[in-house]
Amino acid sequence: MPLYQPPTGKPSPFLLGTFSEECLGAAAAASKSGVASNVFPSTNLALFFPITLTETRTFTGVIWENGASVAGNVNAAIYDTTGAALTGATIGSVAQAGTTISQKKAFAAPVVVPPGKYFLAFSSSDGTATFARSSLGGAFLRVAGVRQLANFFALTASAAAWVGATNGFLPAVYLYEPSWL
Amino acid sequence: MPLTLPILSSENVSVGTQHSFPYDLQGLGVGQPATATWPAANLGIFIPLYIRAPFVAQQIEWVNGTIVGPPSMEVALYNEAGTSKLATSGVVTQAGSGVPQAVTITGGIILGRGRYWMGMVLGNNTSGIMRFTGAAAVADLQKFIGNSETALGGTALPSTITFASAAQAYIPLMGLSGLSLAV
Repeated sequence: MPLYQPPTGKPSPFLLGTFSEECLGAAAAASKSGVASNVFPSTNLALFFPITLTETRTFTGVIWENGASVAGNVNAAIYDTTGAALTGATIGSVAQAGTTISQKKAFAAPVVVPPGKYFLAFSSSDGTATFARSSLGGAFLRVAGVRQLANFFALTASAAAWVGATNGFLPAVYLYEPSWL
Repeated sequence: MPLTLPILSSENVSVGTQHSFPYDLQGLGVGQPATATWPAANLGIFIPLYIRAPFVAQQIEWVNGTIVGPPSMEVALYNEAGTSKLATSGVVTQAGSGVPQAVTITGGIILGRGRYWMGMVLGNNTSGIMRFTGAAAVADLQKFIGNSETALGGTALPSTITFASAAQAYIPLMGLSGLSLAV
């Protein structure tokens, strides 16, 4: 009879995002690039950040950190590794509001996500909008697995046309579980 | 055949170690931890702790800042749901400016891999704890860590956590030790 070997490794956290160990946190730490307000790379560009879940989690929504000025709208969603959007895992178009402060938006209903690899997508409708971000270099983010897709603000069902990232923009964007956040 | 479980080799499970969220802290722009006065008397601050493998905790520990008072305080460990206080320092007097303070967990406690919460409360807002805080560009770091805050009305932590959004960008340096050595 096989023996039960309990899992090890860090449990998926209550908030999982771009600077988490489960995403690009180690890369950001290695780059020592710091975090500062900067403009989004281009209007309607969608960025896709690879994340790993080790347990089933139920996410309430998405939180991000706005920069020194706001403009346009923000969208965020979860995609699988084929570029298919997870059902219900999108915040929709949200007017960016509040400078140098976090902003969050819940999904229409909490989304249950099984263990596996996914992408956390983030987009802005305005290339003058600013966000708190680290700058890691496009090549670095590309080899770290970040994808991008132009003119994809709406974050619709399929991002299969995505390509490797060409810019080094790593914003503070997180999925969150606690409804009281 | 005996079952062999992996046991953490690290002697310390604390904020800033691999068992918390070190990459998040780094990415969100924190600097070196520094002393800062407790935000409000009798305010309870609760932060997540992520234990990677079975661990036997022998002490609860934290790092004091500049002590004024000294106040009474409590530090405790809770389960993932915040419904059970698993280990506590009890209400003690803050002691030792600028150095760690630890309380033995009688008999130790075996903790499985999982998600937990650590809570701290101080009885005044003039005494200090060593803490992480965010960079200027991330004014509300605590939102990305998942801090919870509650006005407790006293220096005893509750038996269960009433989770509520945190306003303070204050990540206390606290955790658990697998050793019973003096800090």
